[in-house]
Amino acid sequence: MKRWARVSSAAVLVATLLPGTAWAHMKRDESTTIRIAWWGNQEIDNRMLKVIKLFEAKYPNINVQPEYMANKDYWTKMNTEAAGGNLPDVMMMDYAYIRNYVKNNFLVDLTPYTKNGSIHVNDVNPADLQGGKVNGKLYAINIGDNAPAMLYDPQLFKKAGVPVPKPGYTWDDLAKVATQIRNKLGKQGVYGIEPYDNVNMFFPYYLRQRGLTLYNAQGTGLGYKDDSLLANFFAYWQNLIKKGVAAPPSVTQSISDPTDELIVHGKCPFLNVWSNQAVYISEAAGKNLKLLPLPTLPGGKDGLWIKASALWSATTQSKHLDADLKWIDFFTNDLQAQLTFGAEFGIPISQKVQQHLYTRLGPLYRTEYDYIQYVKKHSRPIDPPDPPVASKIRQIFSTIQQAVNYLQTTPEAAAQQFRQQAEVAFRQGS
Amino acid sequence: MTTNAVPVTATAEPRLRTARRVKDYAIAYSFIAPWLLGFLCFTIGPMIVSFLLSFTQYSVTSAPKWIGLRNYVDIFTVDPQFWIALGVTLKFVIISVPLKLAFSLAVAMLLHGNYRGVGVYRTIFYVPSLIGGSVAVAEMWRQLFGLNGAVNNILQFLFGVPGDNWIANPNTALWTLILLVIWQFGSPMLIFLAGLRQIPKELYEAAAVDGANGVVRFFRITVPMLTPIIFFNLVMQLIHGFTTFTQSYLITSGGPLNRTLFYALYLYQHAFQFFDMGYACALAWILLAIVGTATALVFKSSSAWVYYESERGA
Repeated sequence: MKRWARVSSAAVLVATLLPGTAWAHMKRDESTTIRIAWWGNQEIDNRMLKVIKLFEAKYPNINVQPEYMANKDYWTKMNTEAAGGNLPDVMMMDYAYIRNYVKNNFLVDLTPYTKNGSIHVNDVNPADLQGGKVNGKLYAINIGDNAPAMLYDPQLFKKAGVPVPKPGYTWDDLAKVATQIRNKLGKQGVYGIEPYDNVNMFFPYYLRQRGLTLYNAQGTGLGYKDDSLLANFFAYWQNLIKKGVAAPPSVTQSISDPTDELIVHGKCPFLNVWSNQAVYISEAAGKNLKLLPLPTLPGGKDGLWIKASALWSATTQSKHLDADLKWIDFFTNDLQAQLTFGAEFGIPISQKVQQHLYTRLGPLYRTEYDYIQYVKKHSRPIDPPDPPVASKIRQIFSTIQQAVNYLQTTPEAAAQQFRQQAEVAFRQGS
Repeated sequence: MTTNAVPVTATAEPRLRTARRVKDYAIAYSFIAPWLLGFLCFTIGPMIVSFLLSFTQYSVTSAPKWIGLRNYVDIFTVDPQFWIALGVTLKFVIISVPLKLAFSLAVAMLLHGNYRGVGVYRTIFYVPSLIGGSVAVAEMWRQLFGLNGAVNNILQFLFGVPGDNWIANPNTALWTLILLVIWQFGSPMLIFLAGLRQIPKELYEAAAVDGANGVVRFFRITVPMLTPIIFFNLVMQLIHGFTTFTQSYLITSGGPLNRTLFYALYLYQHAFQFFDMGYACALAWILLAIVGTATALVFKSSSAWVYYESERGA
């Protein structure tokens, strides 16, 4: 009995020590398993999992092991996996990170595979591949086109009896319209506008209209010299808050998800978004929201730009490049897959897919598609990717912007403070 | 002081003893081996690595670059956020720790008696400590203290005053977090309860005979007899307080206006948002030094106010 116990406990010990892979090898078959990682939300995740089912049905010998999380956690996880030599086979890439990943040799150069047809790009406008290129080589395939936009609620405009601004409207028009709506519907708790998270979109846009950029070309400092630019920008929003037109931070500060935004609850006519968010937010709101471009600067330049909202990359740490390429090709070109995915990441790059979706997806997709067509005519190429310290700069900016919105500082002081702190960050980062 | 030293037996067969001792050690170490292995691999190892990394610039994806003391110099000279985070954390610790101790002692006193169902109450009061650090509770707190949260509804109902967005208001945000950690008073409460049981009943009886009322008994008997427990709880809560992270990460993300930017959150931002791992490691070592100093000061002061029964002059 005693001996039996000893033997069995030894057996248990051995079994627990055996690495999991050993078991996997014992039932080896012809199938390969690839890990695919993306960032998303509930809707994107559900759709992506359905696309994966379709992919596995088409290629029965490929299994997909999905890895998905919110964008906030995605890069923490990917960077850690990259450092540990454990990247997924296919990963979702972002414009902000692609240079760094290429520099560290984490991504496979896909140029030869688009030439030999492994990834079919004949239906793609070459301009739409640009976002995945680094030094002339293609490291990532664009999933969908995106652009900064103003989402608006036509019903709220109707209710207030205020006409919707036409594309080409100016910054002054925006303030005027917001004030009118606030005056008409303020008693019902409706605000005219929100002071948005400006560093990712509105402030770079504001600079681009003046032919400037947020960062300089080398990514070693700020791209603008005159602090009165930022001061004026801050003043624009602060004035709207002071007048009670824009929602104060006590109202906006605790909004943590786009589906909880004021526009969803009918408390604000506008929301500053990326165009691909239109469908998601409209569905959350249960109403037909529409897209407008951002306000223009009379005599200024086109500030808008088109950005790949996300891209697919195969990693150099993958051992199944064939399967990786099949996934990227399938996702880019398969009509059923694209219909299932529903353009969650913006307008797909294949023109065949675009035509297929235009009549089959809802009116919101057509709004989005038409908006991207408009932007293509009224935009300039995207600024160079953000330098690595950008995440720190963003944090600095939003803290300072908060102080402005809480009326704790003057726009001038805030603008100077931003420059000071940003310069320290640049010095540390280099 | 009574001596209770065990007389040392003469070693008749020293070699046998040594062999036996080796065997004893071998057995003892093999029993703690799993823990020891974990401790070396997952605590000591990373600590050494983090110490080395604190002298580098390390963006996680590319190799660390040795930069000497620059991280430390930068933290103290050009980083205003560091001082903000330190200030917020100190304020949080200084306010929340005494309040939490007082509150947990008060609840422990209530639950010390021997009335019906006291076991159930003890369990119920411990529940917040079990779930307090969870995401669900953080989300609940956001809702409770939000603009349309339950707290404001209650205020409206009771006093007819509209409330504020407590979490988004720079003047109240920290207080909502302090309230949350005080609410998690379970573990110090349990330790206080155990301490209260240790106090000899005779002391109270003697005091009652001498005509001491409840307040006098509390301050003259309960508190002095509990000081070792208070000391222990103080040290533990101090360390907890300095390393508080979850609450501000989940509920306020450090805002509004950095009013809840806890040190641990600031460190996390550098490590996992800015991917400035070297800087984050330097911040971690400074935190260790600060917590160590604070703990040492409390230890130093303990001889003045902590009373051990065994020290009673014999």
